[in-house]
Amino acid sequence: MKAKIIATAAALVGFVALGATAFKQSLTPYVSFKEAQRSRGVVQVSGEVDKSRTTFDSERGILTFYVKDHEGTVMRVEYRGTKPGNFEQASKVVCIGRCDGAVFRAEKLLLKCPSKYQKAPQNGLEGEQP
Amino acid sequence: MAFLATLVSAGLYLYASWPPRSAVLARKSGSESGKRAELVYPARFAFIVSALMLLAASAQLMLLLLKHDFSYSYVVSYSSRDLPLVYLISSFWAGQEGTFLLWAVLVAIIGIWVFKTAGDFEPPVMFFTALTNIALISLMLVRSPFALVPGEPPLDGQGLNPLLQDPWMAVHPPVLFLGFAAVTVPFAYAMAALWRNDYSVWARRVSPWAALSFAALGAGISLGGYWAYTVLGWGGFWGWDPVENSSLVPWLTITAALHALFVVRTKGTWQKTALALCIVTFVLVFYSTFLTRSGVLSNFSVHSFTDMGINTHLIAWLAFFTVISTVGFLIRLKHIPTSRRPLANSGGHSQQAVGRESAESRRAGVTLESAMYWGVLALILLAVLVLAGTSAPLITGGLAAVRRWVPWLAVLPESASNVGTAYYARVSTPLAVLMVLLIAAVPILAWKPLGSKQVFRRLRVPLAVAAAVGIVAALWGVRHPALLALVAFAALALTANAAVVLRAPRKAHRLGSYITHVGVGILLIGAVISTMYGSTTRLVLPLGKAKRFGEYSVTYMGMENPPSGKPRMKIVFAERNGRSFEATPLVYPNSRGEYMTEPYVRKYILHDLYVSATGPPQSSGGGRRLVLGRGETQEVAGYRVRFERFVAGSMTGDLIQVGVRLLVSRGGHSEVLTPMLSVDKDSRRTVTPASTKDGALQFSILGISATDAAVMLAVSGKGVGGEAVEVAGVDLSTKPLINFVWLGTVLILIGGLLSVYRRGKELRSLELTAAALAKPSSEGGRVRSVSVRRGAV
Repeated sequence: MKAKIIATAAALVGFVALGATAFKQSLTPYVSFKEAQRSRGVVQVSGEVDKSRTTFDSERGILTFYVKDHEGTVMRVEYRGTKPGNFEQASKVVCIGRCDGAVFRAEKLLLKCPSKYQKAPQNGLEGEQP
Repeated sequence: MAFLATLVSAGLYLYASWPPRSAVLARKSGSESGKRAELVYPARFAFIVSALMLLAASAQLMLLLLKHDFSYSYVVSYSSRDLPLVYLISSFWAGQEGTFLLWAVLVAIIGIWVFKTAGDFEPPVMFFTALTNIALISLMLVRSPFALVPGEPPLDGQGLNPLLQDPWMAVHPPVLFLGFAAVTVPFAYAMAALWRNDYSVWARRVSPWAALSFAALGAGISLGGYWAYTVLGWGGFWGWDPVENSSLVPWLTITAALHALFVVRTKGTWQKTALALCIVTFVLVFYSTFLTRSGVLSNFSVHSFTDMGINTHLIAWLAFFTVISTVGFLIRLKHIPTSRRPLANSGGHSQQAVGRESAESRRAGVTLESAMYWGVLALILLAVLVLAGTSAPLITGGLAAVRRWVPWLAVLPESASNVGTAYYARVSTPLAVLMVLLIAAVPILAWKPLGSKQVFRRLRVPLAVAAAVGIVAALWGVRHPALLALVAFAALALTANAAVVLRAPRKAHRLGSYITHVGVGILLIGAVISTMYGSTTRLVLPLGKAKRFGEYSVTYMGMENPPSGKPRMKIVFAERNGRSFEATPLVYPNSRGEYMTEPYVRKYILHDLYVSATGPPQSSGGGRRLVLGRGETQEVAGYRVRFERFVAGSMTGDLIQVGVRLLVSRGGHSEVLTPMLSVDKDSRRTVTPASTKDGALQFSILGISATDAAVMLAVSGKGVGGEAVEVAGVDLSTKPLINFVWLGTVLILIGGLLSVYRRGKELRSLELTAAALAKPSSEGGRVRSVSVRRGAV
């Protein structure tokens, strides 16, 4: 019985520790581009898209656009894929990815549309891969 | 009409709140005066009336939807004239208000069934069942499904979200809410056991209901997963999205409760665990309702509901149920039996149970109980960790608020944030390994009377299979040690349990748990392989131009817009052997002009090919835009263009002039071009283009960014491409062994349903014997006479 209690306590402590570290590590915080440049991992930067300067390279299949974050930093964002469906309407875009020098390489784009949606999945998931 | 609707709702509320009061009296009176026991009848009557009212309200809502009565805002929001009948019906549960109504109706129907079978437990059980419906109906009073549209009713509705127009999504909510409604029963019985301080029979009574909750919740979750895979295009059956998690967590706890109830039935111990798990499951259902419907996660989940003004009510009910159950549990804590002979002091009824159980418990042995212990612990841990992940925005938000007050606590997060799916993968893998090992051990422990040699002989085949599966998986590419262990042990678990079923196929209907365990093994293998070892390639396909993908040559043939159906991309996959097929992933705008995509899934036995559009096709060309970082080189029409540096121009007066020094080369030739951009004090731009000497290309600056040292140029000229090209972006994924996921799920559900059947049958036979043996005793007699009278009616 005593062994069981000890083993249980050990299991609990172990999993709480595992959970806490995994929790902390996988938090993908919203940061500014400046912070993104400093960090090595995957981060999310939210900002406004400058719509006049969006280009799509059909040969390489890369969408390039400029995003201004809440600190006012403008950064070039490259995303492999075609323009997500609601890109034009999006008021804000969340870029999930990492900085590579002067370019932010987005693996995922989440679009926040101004229209408030009620329920159900929206297509803001463009380009999401598990 | 609105008045009538509110009247109906108010009437429902009144009626639904009536039975508990009388039920309480009936319960209290049970020991005091016989008269009060009679109150069971009006209580029952009121409950039936409330059930009928709820059914009438549902019929009313359904009728409004079918009649296209657009003066009701629910009808406007979720349906339209062009919806086919099936989806017109399913728009009933497309919105929050409708799902609350559905939930309440199901609780009412289940409640009627419960009071017919609850016997002497009826008053308290029905009190808590009715309490649940009071909560649900009060939420509907705040957000009525019968709210009217302000002003003139529109001519047509906004329609059902096209993603929900899918057969799987039409059946998913009713099944899931059946699960939500079913967990009310274990909760009500657990609370009733605490209320009456009688723990002799509740576990047996509740077992079929717990199994039903397990099966219905499980089926609801899997239907949702299948829908997410085939329609939503998440690329997987499980995205660890808050909405999914919030029904997974109660499912995990009800699974733990099923195991605890097994121990209660066979050994009489674990009463507290079983009680707590039944209660917690119910509270978690409310908590998950709060998480997904209150809008607290709307920034973090793509499919959470938005706040509809029922937050405070939800929180109040959540707090209420948490408090009453916690208080009830604590008050009775000392009285809950822990001994191994817990049923000794109860009536003859339960003596019978002890007699029946002893054989089973001898077979089960002590070791099975400790396997159960670890299994339940693992399930609870997983539930807690998933719940923590799902609540991450709340937790981090709370911690961030603390940090604002206590700034020196720098470990705390600065703002609310979400956890990635990596978190769930990391915490669930070791727990899953533990679970499959335990599952593999179950049949071995059941053979305990056998000698160790015999055990080993019986384990030979499963061990060989597990080793073989492990080796094949490793060779195939599963190298991660934990995942490899998970796959191999899952194979062990499934073969060991399958062996039990195969040894006695005629008794398969009694072996529900083994079938479920086989399903868990298959599901986990499928889940690991399909999510961790599939591949995804993003292809950008210009119209009519073939690109290679593995053994296929893939060509985008343009958009198709079938007269009935949604717009789709037509993509031809040609194999080397000359065969080909057409994939048609959907991509279409919804009523608000937002684009939706639905994948195309080509099924094979051992894998799926999963094709989903990354967005609508795009036109590109007509001159080109070039974005260059400093020092970067890109190729345009055979020319290599390198952006060397910015050139400061004259800064006379208020005019700022900037040039961009480009090195343009082709073959051995290279030349420097400096297109200019000047901005005057009123931000008027003047662009000075620069052309190559042969005049083939012209560059002009569209914009510059000094901070990130990049320039955007417009390039025009020969060979750059004047005419627009349609380009489609698609993600092509392979999903190896995804069919194992579906097969495993189906087996889990079959096992669950077999348990419902078996536990229900056991309960009936037990009650028949109990009734035959029943001796009129002082307390039980009165209540029993009620049930006898009911039988006469």
